[in-house]
Amino acid sequence: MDVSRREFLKTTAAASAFMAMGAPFAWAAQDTADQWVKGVCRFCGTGCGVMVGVKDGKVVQVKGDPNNHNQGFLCLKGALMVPIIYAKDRVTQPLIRKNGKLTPASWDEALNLTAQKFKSVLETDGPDGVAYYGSGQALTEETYLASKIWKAGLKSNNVEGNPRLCMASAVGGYVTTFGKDEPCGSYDDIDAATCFFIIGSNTSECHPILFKRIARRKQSDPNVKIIVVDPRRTNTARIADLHIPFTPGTDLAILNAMAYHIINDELDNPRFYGKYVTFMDNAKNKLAFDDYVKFLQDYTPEKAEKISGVPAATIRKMAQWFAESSATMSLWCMGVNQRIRGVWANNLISNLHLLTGHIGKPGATPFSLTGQPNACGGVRDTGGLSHMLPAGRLIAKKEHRNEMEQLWGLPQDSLNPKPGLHTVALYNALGEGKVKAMVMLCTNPAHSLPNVNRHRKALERDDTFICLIEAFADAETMKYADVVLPPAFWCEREGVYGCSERRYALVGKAIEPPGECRESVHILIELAKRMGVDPKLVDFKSSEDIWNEWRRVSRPTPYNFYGMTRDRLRKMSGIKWPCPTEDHPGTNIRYVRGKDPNVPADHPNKYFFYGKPDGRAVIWMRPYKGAAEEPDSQYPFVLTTGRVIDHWHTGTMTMKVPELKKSFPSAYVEVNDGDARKLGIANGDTIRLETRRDTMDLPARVSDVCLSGLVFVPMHYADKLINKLTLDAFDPGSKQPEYKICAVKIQKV
Amino acid sequence: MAISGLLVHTLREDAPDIERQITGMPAMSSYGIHNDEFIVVVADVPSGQMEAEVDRIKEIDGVLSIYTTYVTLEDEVS
Repeated sequence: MDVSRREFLKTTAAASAFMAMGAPFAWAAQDTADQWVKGVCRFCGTGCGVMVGVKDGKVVQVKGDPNNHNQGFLCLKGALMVPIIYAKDRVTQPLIRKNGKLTPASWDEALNLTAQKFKSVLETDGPDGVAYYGSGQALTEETYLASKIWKAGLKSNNVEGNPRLCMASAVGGYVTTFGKDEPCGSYDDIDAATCFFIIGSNTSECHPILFKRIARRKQSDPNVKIIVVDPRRTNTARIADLHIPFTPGTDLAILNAMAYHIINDELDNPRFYGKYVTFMDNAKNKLAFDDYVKFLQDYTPEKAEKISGVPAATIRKMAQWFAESSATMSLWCMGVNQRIRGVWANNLISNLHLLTGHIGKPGATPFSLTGQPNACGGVRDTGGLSHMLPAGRLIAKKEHRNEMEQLWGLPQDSLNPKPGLHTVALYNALGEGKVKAMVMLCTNPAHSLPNVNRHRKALERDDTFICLIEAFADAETMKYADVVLPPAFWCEREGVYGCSERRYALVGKAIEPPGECRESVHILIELAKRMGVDPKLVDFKSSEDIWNEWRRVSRPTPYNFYGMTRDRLRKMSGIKWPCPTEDHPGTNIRYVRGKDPNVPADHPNKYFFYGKPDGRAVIWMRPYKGAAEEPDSQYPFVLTTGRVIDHWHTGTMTMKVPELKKSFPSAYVEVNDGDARKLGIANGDTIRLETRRDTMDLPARVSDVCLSGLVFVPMHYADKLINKLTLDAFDPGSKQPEYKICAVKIQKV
Repeated sequence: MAISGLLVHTLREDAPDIERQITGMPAMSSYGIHNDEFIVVVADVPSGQMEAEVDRIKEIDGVLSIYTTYVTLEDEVS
């Protein structure tokens, strides 16, 4: 590359940064690629818009989309997608396991073998013997189609996806509180909030672009308060006015104590909750406000201090900040969801908003963050879980099944009325030989499932058949696949991603896929036909056809996507649902007259929680419940797991980027400095972690990040599968496992 | 070689000092402080060293975050 070209590229790089800031510049970046294709980042649930630069048929650059919510910003992961597309270990041809080894095969051989196995299991075991396990990284069209093939075509409701592991408790929280899933607000609320209540989220590392927006909001107005509730002093806590470390698993007590103080100090908003809220106990009895007050007597700040270790005065202070701000926005993620009472924790956060009226106004909203780029669109909204049908409909409800039968052209009462198995139950059933054939798409359960040794044994069984649609040969689950089908990856095909704020945006096709890779929708259609599914059910020529059916299916529901045409998505950088008509701009705030198209313009009340029969949201009386496996004398520490900024999930993508790999090259265990002193542990010492499930040796990283009694291990490393140690106890409501807490013994070896 | 556009988000009071430290790094060029809190930086470093250079910036007191707005690997891919 000559100097002048290099200088030109440097100027372009600087221009992109100016563009990201929205700063005026006279020397705007000129395109260095032949073509720019609009897309969405492949990583977290923030859903940043990207522009994919193509030259000579290859992706050469990725930059932020200035017209999307991220305003041109990208984190390092998003900007470094190029080496992943061209990774040497891409799977580019179908593979069939023969004599223990995956060997190249033709598409016909691989598809026929899979179809034959499925037909055989369907014949011997019926629909309960087969399953589909999908992903919050699959396209909306892919999940909608797979769910339709299994539920309508094979009459099997064993349709699950990895969002069960990350977002199911948020779904349960929203549905039980508001009657409908997904957040009430949007990212725009960040720019108007005057108090941020961040609990169970390391936003800085897991959602860096949103962290930027929060940090910027704080800098624009020094009066903005940030509260971070987290047992680790993460980078997110660096900008907090109040960082509150607490004993892991005690958040329910803290949240109830905040409610106690809000009421006791008359910081509540009776005008709001008197008109728009119902109080309910765990048995779903409607109770009075006074009953709620009585319930909260067990959660005075002093009592909560004894449970959580958070001083009563601190609980009062954060309750006061929460209630007295002009607009409070709560943000949470896996720290709240991956718990055996994750749904309750979600309810209790929303309680605080309903109690104070901090909802439905700019900056005032409860807002869950998602971990994957399409957990919402891919799975939650289209009904890609074992108890759901598309657009919030439930398998258990006859009228919902009948509606879908009509929309799918099926005879009445032909859908299977029995919900399928949730993820942990599904893999348990696989281990027991009750589920015998499974298709997996875009997910790596042999790495990501909790207590993974147990589930790897299930995958290992000789009598199970696993067909894996997977782009990367180093995924752990490849070891257990009987057939591997190579999919087109990310910008090698077109489809839609839906992010945390209900924004759906198109991932445009920028390049052709390598080798024999095919679009996953075509793989699924072909499989369905060969399995004997009625061809009329899968009569789609393209993902756009599937999208258009999804729009029609969503139309009679409050999830209405009908106005989100493909043409609009091609032109715009995303639209937030509900979007009922082609001229509707999308919805920033739900449940409010004049803001949400589902609330009639002439509705007598300003707020209308239409997901509930009485139009009122629910303040739940949820008692304190600790972790499934508390530390004890034998296992005195708590093990928690999570992400680091430059890696993502099972590492099959980020470990391929040298810059990211070098940033965090190997696994480690983060140990509190005080605990390390007591145990004689120094930085770099090898530490043995032992839980009731397995042991693992890791180098120590000693710091003040973890609270005393807590250790943290990142989850990305295939050579150190920390999920061999984690627990698969799950929330009885959401069925989401408690990854965040298990008891562990640590010793220097 | 990778060329990257970076936006370094800083505490306002620390921005001038942080910019001085960044411009002292051989691979980094500053395009100035903007809105009192963002420093526009271009990194031109051999592939594989970028992360280390970015880490050095992260460690400077007062740096809140670093955002990548552009990366070209044109001469590595083509």
